[in-house]
Amino acid sequence: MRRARIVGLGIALILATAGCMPQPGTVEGRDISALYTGFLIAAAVVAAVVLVPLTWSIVRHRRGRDPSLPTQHRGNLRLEIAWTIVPALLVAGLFVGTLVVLGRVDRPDAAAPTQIDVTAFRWGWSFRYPATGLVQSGVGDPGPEVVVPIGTPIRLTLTSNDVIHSFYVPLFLFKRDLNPGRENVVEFTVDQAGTYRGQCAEYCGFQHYRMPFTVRAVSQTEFASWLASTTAAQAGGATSVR
Amino acid sequence: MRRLRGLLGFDEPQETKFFLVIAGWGIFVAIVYWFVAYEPAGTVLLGGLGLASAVVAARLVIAARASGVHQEAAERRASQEVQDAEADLSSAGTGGVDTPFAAMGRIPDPSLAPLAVGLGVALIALGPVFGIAPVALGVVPFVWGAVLWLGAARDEFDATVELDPSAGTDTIRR
Amino acid sequence: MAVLERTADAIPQPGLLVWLTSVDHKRIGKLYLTSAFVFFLFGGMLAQSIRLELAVPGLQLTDAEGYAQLFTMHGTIMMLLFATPAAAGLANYFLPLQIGAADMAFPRLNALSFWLFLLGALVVLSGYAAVGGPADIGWTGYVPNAEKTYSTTAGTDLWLIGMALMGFASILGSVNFITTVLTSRAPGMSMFRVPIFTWNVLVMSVLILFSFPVLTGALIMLLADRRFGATFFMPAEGGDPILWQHLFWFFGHPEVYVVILPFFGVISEIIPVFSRKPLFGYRFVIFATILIGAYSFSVWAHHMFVTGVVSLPFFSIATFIIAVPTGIKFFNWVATMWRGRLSFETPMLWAVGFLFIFLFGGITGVILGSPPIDFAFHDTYYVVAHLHNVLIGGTVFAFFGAMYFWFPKLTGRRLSERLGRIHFGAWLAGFVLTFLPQYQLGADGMPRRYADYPNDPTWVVLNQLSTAGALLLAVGTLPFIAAVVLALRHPPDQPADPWEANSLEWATTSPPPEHNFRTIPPIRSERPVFDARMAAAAARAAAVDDGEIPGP
Repeated sequence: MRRARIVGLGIALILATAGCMPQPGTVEGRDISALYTGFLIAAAVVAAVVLVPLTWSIVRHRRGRDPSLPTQHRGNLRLEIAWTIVPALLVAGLFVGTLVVLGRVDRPDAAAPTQIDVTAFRWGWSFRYPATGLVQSGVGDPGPEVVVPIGTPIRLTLTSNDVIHSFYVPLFLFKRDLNPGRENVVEFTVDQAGTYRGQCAEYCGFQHYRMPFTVRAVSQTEFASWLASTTAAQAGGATSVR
Repeated sequence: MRRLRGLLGFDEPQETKFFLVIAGWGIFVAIVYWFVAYEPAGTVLLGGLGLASAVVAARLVIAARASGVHQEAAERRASQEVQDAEADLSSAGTGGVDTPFAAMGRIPDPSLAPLAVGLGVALIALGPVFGIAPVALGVVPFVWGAVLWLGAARDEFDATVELDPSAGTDTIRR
Repeated sequence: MAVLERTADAIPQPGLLVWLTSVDHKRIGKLYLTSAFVFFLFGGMLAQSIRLELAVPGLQLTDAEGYAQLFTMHGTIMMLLFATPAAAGLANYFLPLQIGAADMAFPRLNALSFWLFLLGALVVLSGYAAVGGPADIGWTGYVPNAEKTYSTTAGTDLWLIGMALMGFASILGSVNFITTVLTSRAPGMSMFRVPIFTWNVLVMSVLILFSFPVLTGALIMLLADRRFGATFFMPAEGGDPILWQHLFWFFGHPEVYVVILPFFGVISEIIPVFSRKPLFGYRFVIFATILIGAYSFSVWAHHMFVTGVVSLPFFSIATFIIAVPTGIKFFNWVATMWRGRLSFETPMLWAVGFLFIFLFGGITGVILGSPPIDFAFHDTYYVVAHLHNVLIGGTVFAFFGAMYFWFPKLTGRRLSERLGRIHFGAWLAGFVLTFLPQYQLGADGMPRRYADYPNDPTWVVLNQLSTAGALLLAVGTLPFIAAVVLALRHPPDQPADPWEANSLEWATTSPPPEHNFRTIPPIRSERPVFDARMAAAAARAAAVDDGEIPGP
């Protein structure tokens, strides 16, 4: 029994290292994180159901000095049905959870979102605010900064000028590809003010690892004033390219 | 009932059923996929998988029917199943008879032909990068190997017909 | 012609010419296995270079271009120059033996498959000698990055041609395997008496037959874009880069089942022998294999969830469904062991290690099959961890298990148990140390294919743990090489059936004679050698009872 407890502890440890998600900064990220927790619980159950009998068998069913043959069981129809139906139900449940969260995370349908057009290129980003025509762009490290308001939906229209890139903000638990010749539309709501690192997440050439960007989430009033003043400054000749 | 079974391919030999099942499955998934996703590339790929398998199945069915083997093979299979069920231990396997391979067909002699053909194909394939030179070079072993290979196959076929004349017709061996 | 008059035991002169002209499936199998292992070592060295580069932030060992070549060639070599031919090698050697055939249905075509594979591999590797070095586009070759504009060197073209040659070899091989199984089984061996390894090879072959031609088509299209003025994948000219992803993954997902199914088969051979029980639920395992094969064609776009242009629900549910037959196999393996008489010689160590490790890889695969979760984890080290989890815990562990299990049959010698245990222990610990930290790295946001990363303390520690594990894996391969070298120094001394096993390959000498079998035991179940052993024991016991021979 001590061995079984050790194995249980080992499994728990392993699952703990199996990738804890960071605290997300968006409303959608929270849904994704909750879904992931659900999956991890299901995973732990499945792992236990397989590993406990397996470990028990390894410990208790050794041959030792016994040369005789064990009973040559060939199969059991009830078991086969059980371990087909139960996992099928389990994955059905996981699928339902997936659909629910997908409906909340992947549906650009807000009435009055803050629109930002994102263009990726080798090797940097360009963020355009169509409301005022402001463009924030930059290459390499540290890359450009895109300022967004919290508490209200942000809609990004994503495209690329050359190869496929991917817009990835780890703390939003979210990414979407930017395809040349196509537009992807995504929407999310940031609810924690702060600075979030963004990266390219689709191999796009030698400087793929060196095209980060920053998302700075501020209050709505601060965003409005920033947008107005920066647009005016840019129109007045100051550049915003880093 | 028998017509339905015949139409659905229940009485076809194993290899035909094999390709019929794959064909049916591929076309079924293609249809489902189209109405779920309306995505042309995947639909073509899945449907193509089903159609390719259907072509093989059709070829097998037509060849079998054309050579009249189908009827007698079905009868033989029916009696074979009875035989299998009644067979006792000593008659299965080779029943202790030595050197069974002669009954299962002949094995070709060692030959440089496969290496030559492979080398030829590989060199010809380098054409897009290196131009006409490897293509010209590759044609030589390719043709030489192909001639050697086909010649040996023809000789082996003739020898088999000498030994067993009924094997010369285009039948599907059971 | 003397073809049919040649005796069964004609022994050709040894030497290079024998290997170049052989059409014997056993020789061809050994050629595949040896080549695959040599490429495995080379791909492993590339992995060490990657891990050494990532041990510390900053580019110390190579530049960004060199790093891209490293991960491209590592992936290509491991998938197409090791895993696929290793499966082909085992299948080539053991499938005819398991069904009681004298050779494959098309022996010369079999040889052609090997030579095309080897030549294709050499073409891919010839990129190292080309100006600009080998391919640098990732083993997945995404466009437009792989187009001429962005990947200018000949290395990429050579990669495309070499991949096509190897694909062609696999397609010819699959035709051979399917025909052999359908037409060359020994009398009495119905399909439901065929060993599970052979069944898995059959399903693998169907996967190859219908998926590899799609890859070949895609490779030719990209070559046409690069060299002949085509515009299949160029959006500015009306082409579509997403099409490449559909074509590649329609091949790519069945490909990963191609490299795991035969190894599932190996596990299904090893566990019953070392549990002294038949495989539990034999027919259900076969049905599960067929379902896995069928479904592998309907999940491909789970690699494309973040493209924004595929049906997320269709591919998500298909991915989840595939977990069910895989689970059926797992439960049947455990049930085979349950109340058996287990012994843990090296083959069984690898099989049990497989069960523990592959389980986690399968679970994380289901996790990644949920699009919202995939939005977070796609193209990060979480995916790298998952893929190595299933490929190492699955393919590599089962490959080594197959080597220890079947080495006596292949060579007539046995590999050292002691070295085998060291080998296994090092790989078990090495795998955990290398890849479990990568799950956390991915969850923390480190993308894959990054030559360098920011100086974040957590990322540095996790990367260093991973690098330490990789070194353990490298060192842990040495005992295996030593065991093989030492064993081959011995004269052959192994009996036909050293493990008291089940299937027909154990009914002939170790190694088998030229046409495999002098006699074949009666085939009344999927365990003909076991049945024959029981019948012989019963006959001996009856003879003792009758006083014909003295008792023990």
